[in-house]
Amino acid sequence: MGTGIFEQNLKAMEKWYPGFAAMLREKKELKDTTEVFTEQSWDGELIFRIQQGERRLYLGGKRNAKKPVEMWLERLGALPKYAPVFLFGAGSGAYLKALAGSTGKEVNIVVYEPSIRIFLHLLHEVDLSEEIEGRPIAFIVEEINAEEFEPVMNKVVVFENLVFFKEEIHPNYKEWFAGELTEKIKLLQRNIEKILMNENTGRRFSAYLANNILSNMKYVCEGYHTKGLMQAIPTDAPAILVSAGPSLNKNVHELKKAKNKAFIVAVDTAIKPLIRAGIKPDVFLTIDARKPFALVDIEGAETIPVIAPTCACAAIIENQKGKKIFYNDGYGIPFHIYSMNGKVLPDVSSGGSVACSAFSMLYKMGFRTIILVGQDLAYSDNKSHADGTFQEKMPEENTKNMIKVKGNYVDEVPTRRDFRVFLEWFNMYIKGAKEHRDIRVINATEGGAFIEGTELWALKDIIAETCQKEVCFSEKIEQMESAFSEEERKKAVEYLHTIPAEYEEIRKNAKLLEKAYRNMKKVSAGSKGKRELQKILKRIKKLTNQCRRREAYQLVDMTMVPAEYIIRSEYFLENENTEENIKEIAREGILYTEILQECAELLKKIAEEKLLPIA
Amino acid sequence: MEELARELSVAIDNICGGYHYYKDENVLNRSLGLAGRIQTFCSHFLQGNVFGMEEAEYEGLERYVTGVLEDYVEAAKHQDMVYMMDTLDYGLRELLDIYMDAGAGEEDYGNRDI
Repeated sequence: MGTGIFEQNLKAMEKWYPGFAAMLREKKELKDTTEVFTEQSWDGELIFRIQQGERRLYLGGKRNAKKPVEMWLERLGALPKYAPVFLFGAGSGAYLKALAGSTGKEVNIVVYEPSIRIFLHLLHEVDLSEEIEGRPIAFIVEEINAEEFEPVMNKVVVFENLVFFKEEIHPNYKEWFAGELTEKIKLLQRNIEKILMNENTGRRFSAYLANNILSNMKYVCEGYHTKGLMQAIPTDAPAILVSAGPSLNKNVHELKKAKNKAFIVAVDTAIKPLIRAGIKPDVFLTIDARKPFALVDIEGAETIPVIAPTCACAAIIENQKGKKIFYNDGYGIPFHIYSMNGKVLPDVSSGGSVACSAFSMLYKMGFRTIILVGQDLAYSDNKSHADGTFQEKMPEENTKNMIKVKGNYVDEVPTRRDFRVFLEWFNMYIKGAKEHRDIRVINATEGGAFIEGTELWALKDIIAETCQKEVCFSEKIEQMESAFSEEERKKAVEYLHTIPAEYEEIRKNAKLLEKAYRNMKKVSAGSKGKRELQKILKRIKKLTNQCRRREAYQLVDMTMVPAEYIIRSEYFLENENTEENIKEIAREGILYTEILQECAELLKKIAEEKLLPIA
Repeated sequence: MEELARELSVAIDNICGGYHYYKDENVLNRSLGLAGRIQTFCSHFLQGNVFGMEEAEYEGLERYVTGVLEDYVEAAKHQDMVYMMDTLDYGLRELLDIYMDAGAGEEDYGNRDI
């Protein structure tokens, strides 16, 4: 085998991945039993033949090794910048060389090689230094760095380049490496599904978000926010955060003893089990734009004050008769209502779950003792949530193949990926909180996952120890003062009344933008065309800015995910032919502006319905 | 023979083109389905020097035909898709083309570099 070629290849690799090159150099013992032989094809190419036991397979054509690779390239077609191409199997490097030689350096090539012996043979026999040095090709090789497949995949495949995604399996690899290939391809497919799901969720949520925000504005004008709550609530008592984990049913009744002795904050999903147990929390928190109203649809819940971001489910907010306390979630209109009056709408850290936001809020309010109840972050008795939440009797699930994390009272408990993300958030947040302030976090969940930095207590005992002082928290909330004077509130309402007209302006600008894009489509090549094009582009820029500078535009932006997709995909698609490129941009621009007009029209109607009646 | 050659050629186009352009991996089964016709076609070359070639040249042709058949059998034995497509598309195809090429007759064969 050629040590010279091997060294040359590794040296080229060191430019991008020195650690990977070092691992290859140091690799001694190999589990892989594939034998690899080199032959020369009749058309003069180096080809590999692999053997396991009696069976032998060619990885390149014995007579003609070049033509199949050419046909493959032809099938692949032109690949635009940033296209992710996954090659499963490096073989004798012919496909990789052809791909690298025929695509721009920005095309992301990932090579997964299930056989370390084939890969080492390749590096010894075939000079790939030019291809490797010229661009960062990601090599994932079994027995070397297979665990990097997932992180590399996550980095390379994103929503914007998904349309150009290619997954190519080297001829004959499926025969011997079916297991390894299937595993990796499944990972890829799951990742793609996840990307699409997130985009679809965004799309699904966006229309609701806009509707929620506009519907909730009349309550935002009432001027209650989490900082005001902090000022109203004494924090020398403990706070109890009640979540809807499956073990809540085990100790929910104990909470009665804490009423008016601890500030009881519930997540929305825990409302029903609490009310049924005769406990009315002091407040509850809801954050999801599409939270099912049924979760809080129980007599007695409507009088509980609610804490929410401005995009929270309008049906829940509307139903509450108690105070509606908001925090900043980054939307322009509520932010402007406060800033125009020289005030700030405070924010709350988000960790993904309602409980994460509630915990962050309690910490920011200044509580020194926070007691967690029903915060399982895992399955208990094979259930995901407490009975009486999503269903009267939550179904038992098969937890056998679930991921396991350290338990509070047992070595391991089964959990889901999303629960584990929340668990990691708690670990991180509590660690940070303790570095800044003296804070006790008690986990009084009767089961569940262990949260770092928490003390484990039985709820009964910790209530007895910490809940000494009588405080009527509901009265304190009732007495909260609005952030706005009547004059400031009126000013905010006046501003809200201008929003429908803002959308009308955006719609008009979008119409003009559409016209500009239509003119762009007609522009021909040549110097006259260039001047014309510059003029049009200047106009497009001006009109786009006129749309974007309006606060109301943010909601339009959110509701037009399909248009965003058009633009984001276009970013990756560069056609060398300028005239064709201009026509393509014009076509996309027309589509974009048509959707923009539709969205602006739709939001104008919602704004008229929700904002104009506010007195 | 011309008809058989055309038939085999179309079948190979479908098998190899299907794989290269449409990722149709049902190569081996379809190739094995051609066994009888390939045998008939190749035997024709091995029945004697029907083209009236020079002895050395005919020996070369015999070796080539035998090589194609051996490769076909070997590819089938190892269930080797790459080997099979190469044998059919670039091995057997050369023999088929003798009957397929327009204007190409027996007399042209001697100039072929196979």
